[in-house]
Amino acid sequence: MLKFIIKRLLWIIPVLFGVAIIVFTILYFSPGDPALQALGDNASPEAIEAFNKDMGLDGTYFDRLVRLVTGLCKGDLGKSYKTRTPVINELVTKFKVTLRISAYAIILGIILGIFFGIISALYQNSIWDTLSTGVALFGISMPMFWQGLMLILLFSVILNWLPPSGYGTWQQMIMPVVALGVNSSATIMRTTRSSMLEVMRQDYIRTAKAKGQKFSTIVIRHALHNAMIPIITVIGLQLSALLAGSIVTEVIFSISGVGRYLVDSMTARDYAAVQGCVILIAFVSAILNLIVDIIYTFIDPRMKTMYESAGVKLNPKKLAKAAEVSNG
Amino acid sequence: MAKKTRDKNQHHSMVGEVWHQFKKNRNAVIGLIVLCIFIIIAVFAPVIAPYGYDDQDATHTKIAPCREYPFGTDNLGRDVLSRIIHGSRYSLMIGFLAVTISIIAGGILGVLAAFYPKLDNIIMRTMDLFMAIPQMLLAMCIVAALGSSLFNLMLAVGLSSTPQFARVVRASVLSTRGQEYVEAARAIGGSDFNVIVRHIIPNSLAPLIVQATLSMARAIISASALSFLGFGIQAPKPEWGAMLSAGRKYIRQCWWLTVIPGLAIMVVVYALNVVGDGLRDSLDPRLKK
Amino acid sequence: MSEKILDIKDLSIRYVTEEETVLAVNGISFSLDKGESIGLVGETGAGKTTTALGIMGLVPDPPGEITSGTIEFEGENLLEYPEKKMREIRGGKISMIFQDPMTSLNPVMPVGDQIREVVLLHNNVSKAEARSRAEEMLEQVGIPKERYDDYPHQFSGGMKQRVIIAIALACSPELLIADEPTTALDVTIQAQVLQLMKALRTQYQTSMILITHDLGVVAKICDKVAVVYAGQIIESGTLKDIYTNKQHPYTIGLFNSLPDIEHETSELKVIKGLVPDPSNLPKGCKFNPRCPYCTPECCENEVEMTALSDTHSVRCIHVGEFDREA
Repeated sequence: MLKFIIKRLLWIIPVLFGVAIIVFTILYFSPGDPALQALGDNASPEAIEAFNKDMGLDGTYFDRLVRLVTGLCKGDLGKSYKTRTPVINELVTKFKVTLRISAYAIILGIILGIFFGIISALYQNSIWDTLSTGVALFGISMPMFWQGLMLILLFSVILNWLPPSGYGTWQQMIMPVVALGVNSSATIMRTTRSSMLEVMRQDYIRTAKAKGQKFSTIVIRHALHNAMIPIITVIGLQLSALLAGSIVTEVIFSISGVGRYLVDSMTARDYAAVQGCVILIAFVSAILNLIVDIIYTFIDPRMKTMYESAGVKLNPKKLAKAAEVSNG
Repeated sequence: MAKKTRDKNQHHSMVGEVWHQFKKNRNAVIGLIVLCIFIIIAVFAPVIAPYGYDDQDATHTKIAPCREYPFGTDNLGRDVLSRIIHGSRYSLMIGFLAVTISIIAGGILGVLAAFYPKLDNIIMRTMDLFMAIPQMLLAMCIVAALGSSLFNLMLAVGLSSTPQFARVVRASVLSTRGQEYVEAARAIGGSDFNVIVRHIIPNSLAPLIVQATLSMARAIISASALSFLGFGIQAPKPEWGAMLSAGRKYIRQCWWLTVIPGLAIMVVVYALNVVGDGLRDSLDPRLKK
Repeated sequence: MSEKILDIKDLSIRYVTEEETVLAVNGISFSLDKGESIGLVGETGAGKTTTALGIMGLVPDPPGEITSGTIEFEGENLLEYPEKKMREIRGGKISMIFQDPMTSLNPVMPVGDQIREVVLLHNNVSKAEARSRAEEMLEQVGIPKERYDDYPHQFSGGMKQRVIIAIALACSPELLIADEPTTALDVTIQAQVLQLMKALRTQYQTSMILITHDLGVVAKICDKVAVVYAGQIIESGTLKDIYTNKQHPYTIGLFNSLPDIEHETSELKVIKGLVPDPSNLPKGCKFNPRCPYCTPECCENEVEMTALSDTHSVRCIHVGEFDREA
């Protein structure tokens, strides 16, 4: 088991380098000169050259790539063109904000999603089922940014209950967390429902009934445990989705997190900062995915056996994931 | 006896069977109708819209929805209804073309990976790398590199969801490839290309169609989010996300400027989602009891 | 042979869906004495499993519903039991072994715990006591108790079926219903499992209903046989009655379709046609479309059971009128 975790942790390293190379390459071909952007159009050639040297913008594509990769090894994400300070410092503080909101959002999403998913599945075709599947479908159809705006319109503009922007107080947290979490809860709800429906049809549920077990115990001990397997996959995917969703959420609610930093840097063509954000987000997603995989082994003993015997080379979960992606 | 004849009919009308199942799902049918209405609106936008999308009228700014302007006017006195109608073209086109791009790119990669074990690892590991970057971020970076235009937006959204298609296609081709009829086709000497085109693609189509419909919904959301953030289609073009972004400033006075474009996005996305769900249910033989 | 443990009278169960109504069980009656075992024999879809689920009170509702009949167990009608009381019966006094051992165990729970669960439910014991009972059961079905904490995927099909047998017998039930317990297993494993069931049944003095389509299995462990066709019993009797004095054309057909080693023939005799569609049963004798001796009379009225002896009854109006060996 430990071997599996270590292997997976090591696997993150090439993924990170790969991501760094992809992002760097994409941004390398981006139009616009960062020096001119930072120094203004009238900057002298000497100043530009000094800026480029300072920022590591001189040299060929390969020189810069090598510099990026060696920097990454030391945990250095380069300097922001705008502030000329290391990107990493900026990111650490901002990331705490993003992580906190995302964590609350996913907790909200899990609680609402699993609860309504179970209700829906157990009372299939009842009014509760129709209602919650309907709401969930709206939930996944609403663009997150619009949802945020509608919350502001309702709770800040019309009702005047909650502050429309900022970060810090619990009142300020409510709307961003809800805006982020509702989408996830809708997806988790749909997965929970279909997974529970599938599991409740299984033979082992009938076996449990034949033992004389109570319905509630069957649902919790036998059905939910099995149904959690695909649900965990979706929660894992939602974690990455939340990090991406924080981009629009933070812009709407003026929260100074990684997402907003990314958008600001992109607008200012501060590509070092953009690169740093993307690498950080990829890194965090990879760690979160690893955690999800570890949770898997606790939920599904078959996974554990497989990891322990075959190592990690072929991860059948990936196939399952692909299927999940296709299910939205 | 009755069963036998049914089996025979099923053979030459798979589409009919799917449609028969699909029809039973009331929501999906409504979704399909809504979608058709939007397509008609998009095609005939200049005819249907009462005004042009950038017809400004300084004397009629910020008018709340009323009989003359059902969706109100914006800060420049443009009719929101007309802009929504014109904007439908962007959303539908982006949704459709972005998904076409990802189907083609992802389909080719997925089929290659499934068919040639040597390429499999390289392709799929590369796809893993791309999937390590959240789709939205990837699209943002691609737009940044290419510059913002309608085509680039489509390309960015399409390319960023390519890895998912590659996975779905690969998985479904792999499962189809193991089927006996495909092995039989190879055994009688069908070339790879022949086998792919004649046997594998038609039989892997079902999951692909479902994925395509649902992806179209996501592509529309992604594209409008990018425009909302200022990386996609720029004002004064009436893209719904861009309209939301512009209307956001006036949320205190003109609620309709934020409510209506968002509603438009939601209705289209909702319709695509229910159609996708309906298709999945009617294509998935497991659910046919 | 005195005390009746189970007495089923005129049990009918149907499944109602939007498209059709399936008449799965149509007036099945049979009884079972304490310690006795009966084999319900018939083709797939004859309504055997539904009958078993009916006894267990596990007919999925919707779409299933019990439309008539009584199921008397130890003198009380189970159909009148409230769910709570029924739960005490299930797994405790009546337990069931299901057809497919591959899917009948919860994949995410150690097998030992799955046995312990049923012990805890029906006995007033501590968790530790229940665990040792579960370990004991494992040993009895031939699985070392060290494997208590292993998961189902670590067992073979035969071993899983042993675990299921252990679950079923853990509370020493009065009645055991075994639904095709060996169908999904390899032939060699089948023999072992049957042997085990037979031994344990003797040890626990459990009455048994064995559901199968395999006449060989019935001959090995049953005292009585009931041949089920289209939701009805069409012939019932002791092993001897059925094996040596079979009367119903369907029973005869079933036996004829077995390979016979003594008389080497190039072809097996099969019963022509298919099991009738239970949503559209034929009028009169349910077997009439496939029966070689069918007369217009057969297609008119429901055929009643005719008693040939104390033990032997048959549902055919032409009993004895045709050559049984043909």
